Amino acid sequence: MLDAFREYFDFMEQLGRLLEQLTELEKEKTAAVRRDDLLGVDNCMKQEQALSLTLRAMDRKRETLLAGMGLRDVALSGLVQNSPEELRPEARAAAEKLRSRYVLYRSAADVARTTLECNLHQIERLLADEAYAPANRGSIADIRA
Amino acid sequence: MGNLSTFGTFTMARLGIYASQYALNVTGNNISNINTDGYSRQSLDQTSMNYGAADRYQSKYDVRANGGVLATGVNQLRDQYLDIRYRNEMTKVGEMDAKLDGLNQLADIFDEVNKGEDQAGVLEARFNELIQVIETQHQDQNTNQDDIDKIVRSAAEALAIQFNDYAKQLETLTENKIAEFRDELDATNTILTKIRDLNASIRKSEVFGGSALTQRDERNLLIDELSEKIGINVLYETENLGDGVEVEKLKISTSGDPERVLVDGIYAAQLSIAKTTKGYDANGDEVPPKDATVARWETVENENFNLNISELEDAKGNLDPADPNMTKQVFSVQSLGDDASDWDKVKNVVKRLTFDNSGGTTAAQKAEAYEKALNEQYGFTTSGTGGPRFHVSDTEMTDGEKAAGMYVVHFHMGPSGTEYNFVNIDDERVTQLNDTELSGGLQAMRELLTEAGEYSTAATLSRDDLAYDADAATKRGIPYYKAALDTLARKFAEVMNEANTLPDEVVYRTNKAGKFVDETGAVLADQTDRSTYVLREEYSYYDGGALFSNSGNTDDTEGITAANLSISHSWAHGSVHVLQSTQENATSRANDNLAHIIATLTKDHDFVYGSNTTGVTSFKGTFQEMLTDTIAGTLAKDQNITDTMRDNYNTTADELYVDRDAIMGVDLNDEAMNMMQFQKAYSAACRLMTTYDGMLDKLINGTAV
Amino acid sequence: MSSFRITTNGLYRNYRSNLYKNNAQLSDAMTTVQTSRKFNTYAEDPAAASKAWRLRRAYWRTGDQIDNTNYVISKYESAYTAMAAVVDGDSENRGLDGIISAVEGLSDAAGSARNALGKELIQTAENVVSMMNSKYGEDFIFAASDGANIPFTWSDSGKLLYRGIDVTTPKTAYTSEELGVTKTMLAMEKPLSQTEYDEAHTAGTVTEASYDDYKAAYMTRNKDYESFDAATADYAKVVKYNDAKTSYESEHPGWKFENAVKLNDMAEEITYLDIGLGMQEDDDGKIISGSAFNSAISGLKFLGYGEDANLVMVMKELGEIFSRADPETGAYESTDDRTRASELLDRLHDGIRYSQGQHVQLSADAKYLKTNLSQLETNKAELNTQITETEDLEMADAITEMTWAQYCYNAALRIGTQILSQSLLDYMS
Repeated sequence: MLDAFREYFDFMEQLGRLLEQLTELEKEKTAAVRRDDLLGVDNCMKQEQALSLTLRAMDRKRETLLAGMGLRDVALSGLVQNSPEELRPEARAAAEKLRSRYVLYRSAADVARTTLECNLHQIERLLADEAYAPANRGSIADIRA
Repeated sequence: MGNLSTFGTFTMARLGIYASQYALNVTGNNISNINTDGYSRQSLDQTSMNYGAADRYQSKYDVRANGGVLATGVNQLRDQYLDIRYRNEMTKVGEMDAKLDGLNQLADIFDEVNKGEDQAGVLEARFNELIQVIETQHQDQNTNQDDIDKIVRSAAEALAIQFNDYAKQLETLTENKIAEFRDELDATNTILTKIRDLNASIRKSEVFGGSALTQRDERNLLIDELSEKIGINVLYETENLGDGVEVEKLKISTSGDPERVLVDGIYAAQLSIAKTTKGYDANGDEVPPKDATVARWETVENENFNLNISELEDAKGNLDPADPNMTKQVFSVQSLGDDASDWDKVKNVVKRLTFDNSGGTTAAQKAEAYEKALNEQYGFTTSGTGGPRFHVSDTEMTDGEKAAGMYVVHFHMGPSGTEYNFVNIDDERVTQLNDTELSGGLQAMRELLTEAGEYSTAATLSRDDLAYDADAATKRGIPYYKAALDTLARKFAEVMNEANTLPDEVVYRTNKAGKFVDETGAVLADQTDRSTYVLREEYSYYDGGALFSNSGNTDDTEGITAANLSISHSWAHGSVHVLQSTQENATSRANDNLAHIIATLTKDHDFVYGSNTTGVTSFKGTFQEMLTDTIAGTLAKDQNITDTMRDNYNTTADELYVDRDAIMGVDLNDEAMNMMQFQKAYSAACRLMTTYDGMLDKLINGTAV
Repeated sequence: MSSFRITTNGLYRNYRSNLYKNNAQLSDAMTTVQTSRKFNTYAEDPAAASKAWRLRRAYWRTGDQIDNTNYVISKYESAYTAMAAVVDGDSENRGLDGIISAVEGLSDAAGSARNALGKELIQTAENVVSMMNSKYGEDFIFAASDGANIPFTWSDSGKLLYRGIDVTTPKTAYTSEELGVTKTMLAMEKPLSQTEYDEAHTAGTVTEASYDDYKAAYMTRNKDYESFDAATADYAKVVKYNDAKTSYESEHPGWKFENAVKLNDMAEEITYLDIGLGMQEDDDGKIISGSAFNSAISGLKFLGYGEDANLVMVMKELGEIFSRADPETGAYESTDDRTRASELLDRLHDGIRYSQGQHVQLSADAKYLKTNLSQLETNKAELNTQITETEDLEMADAITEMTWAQYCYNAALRIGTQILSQSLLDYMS
């Protein structure tokens, strides 16, 4: 049983690292959006997709592991309570670390989302305006009054 | 456990309960203050209780436990390194913000991109229109001279009015900026006063053992705010109040070199715009203030907007006995005073000065050396006893003053006292900050108001004999743009007037000796009265003269600026016309001079910094290039750079804010976690109590007596 | 710099900062698209803005030059048309060609026509003069730079005057520019040489005690000159002028040298017009010829001037001789008339050829101006394109780019929100 928990702690560490990777990626994406660097955004998206596949796989592993420990449907917050007495300090540390990484990721993802949404909103407004604004001047008027 | 008494365990449990409770209170306080501006996260200081005193014979096999936990105080979580970094960055942000703000307002005037009809600009378009009417005037063949004048004049007038308008806008901008500078100065002074008062209240609280955390937060916020206005250094010193009582003393000084102290614990200084004393002689002309001919003094605000730091005072107006600024005191001649009380002022002020007393060995020798130095410094005679001069006395001092190297200094008026009795050193002693000592928003505003860039002259650079900013010649504020616009207006007027004027001796009758003569050849009585000159026959058509002047009421071409550029009185009233030709016996449609005017309007000119005689060519190009490339273009580049720099500083400041907040800020998740932790600790301590209770029960009731 | 702990307020500040930056950026983008300009302030793109001002200035100036060219083309065309009526003739007149062939066709055999031809010549001469006095708008076309005043008039004695000067005044080689004398110089007294001084001093007409004193006094009296040497240099010009005048007036008794010089000056009159040849002045402030167009058309130059060199006067005199001939036989009144007529016939021939040449030149000039005009118009269009390229946004590109951005951002958003599975979210919550 202890081994199962230790294995799970290892897994949490891995998951945490993955989240850290994703966090960096989100920051990069935000920066790219701010620069209006579409190629950069595109590149981030591709990496994101790859990482999200890994994340899916890990998620399934998590479910298997938790089931193995008899902790199916127990959330991270319940991990410590459900850990064996002697592993609790370790569990607490692992849970806290994972949680902080998760929070970091969420905040970075939120920033990226806000930035993207704002840009999109403005672009949509512009494109809507453009539909009836014949703004494109082929040539300038005779500038001499 | 040998050193813990039987019931001591209960104490331990109780302490645990107390500590957890305190900790929960602190957490609760943190959570409720999450939105309080400037709130620093607090944490409970806990120490393990240790009975270490009687362990002399401690066996290494003995098992020891400490006696529980003590909550020793509540602390704030702040990282002073990050505070410093953040404030340094905010100084730069404040500086760039103020600078960019000013530059943007200048651009509202000078940036003609996308302005005007068909985006053809404003003043730029006026130039084009003027060239156009002269270029194509010949097409209206029925035009007589008056009609040509009318057309050209109205284009020229539009141009002049635009110049005037720009100058006026610059004037308004300057006024607004000065008002803004004063407001900022007031705001800065308010912050300094508030910090001083907070220092006093924190000190009071500390004397009685409190930690005054709320006041500290408030003070930190104010320091943050101050850092945007002035570059500062913050220092926390310890002040010994005697009897082993030590309290913290906050010292804030400017970050320049030398550092000037703004706040010294419960004392704070105030900033004001420095004053300059100007002297005027009996005719009302300005003369050096120490000149013997001075009849009247006037104290005005310094044109360079140098700042003065007042003496450090506490809330009750008591002076800081250890005022560190005053050792570097500069004192100035302020106003005429001839009553006896002024003597006291002289004495008092100078007495406060510490000085280099290395000259000589005896007190008398030292006094003599100082007297000489002082008189040299202020330009008074250093020999003899006559005339106005300082006299340093070594006999009127207390022992303490002697020890501090202080001497009583008198000021001696000359034998003809009323003639020279001008010196009265101001009551209010101040330290004047020179050009390079300030940074931050206030400095940026000062620079905007004073820097003339390449138009700086030796005189403006060394105003008030204070050290000037070596970079001043590359810093461009409102004066630069004003000078550049004036240069353009003046050059334009000069060139146009010259193109429309022939030398008197060419067009007017002279005799062989070069004297002006009348129709009969008789020499004119008054050779300087131009109204009596008679045109030569071949120039009988001539009606040239100045087209532009410094006022619509005259033909005076002296001192033309953008603000006063006008159509000359004579042109406006038809006695001067645009010269179409400058040839002898010019024919009706000869247009050589119109061609010359166009060539002049479109050719390169040398624009000169400062006055024409001493200046250096600043720019060679057409009038319009001067306008769009040198004036608007320089501004645009400055804006561009400042904007980028502001962004950079802002980004760093944002990052530092987040970093700093990571330490001092409250995070709900964190606190929630803490709450759970402390709650568990509380439960555990309670449990401990029950356990011991059980144990003791066994011991007391379970063992036979 | 990365933090290990991002607090609630730290996040909030970041949001605010991002929002501000985004809004500022997008507001710039909005202005850009709405004004369809690449930059809206100088500071946005100083280099492009500076270039745009230069281009706009050139564009404006080119417009002025096109106006000027159009004006001068019309003037030249009017001049050409006016001349054509005389040179080529019309329903009422034979034209110069017709006259030439009529005169050349004259033989003694057909002498009887001489009389009528004489009248026609006189008539044609008068026609030519009124043609030369025709106007374009309010200005006399052929008046060179004196468009406001009538160029040709007849004197009471039947002489043709150009601005009051007899066009038959015998020619001189000098122009006033070549002579380089001013009125002041002409009024200058002649400096005496040492020998002349000695004589005059002896005679008592010069009072200065020494030649040096005399020189100093001379300099005071002739203050316009820098030194005695320079005065003599200037005086050399006066001497040269006086020599030229004396020799001219002895060669052509009754004629004034000043008038001959003036005719040369008037034939060379210039009115400058900026038609985009890069009008520029030399260091002395004089327009460099060739950098501006000379739009003055001089009737004097067209008809010729000098002794027997003016077409009108040649026609008129010949006409008068012919008129004096016997109406029946066409015989000349005198042998002098015969000799003179033969001389004048040659002159007439030359004159007409010359005038025809001038006429052709007018049309060549007009053609040149038209080429110039089309060049200017091309320049203007080119400048317009350049201004547009510098200042204006290519909307299609901007929109395509934005549409792509829209697509890209949407995809990024979708992927971003799908990274965390619901079960993980639940687990972490």
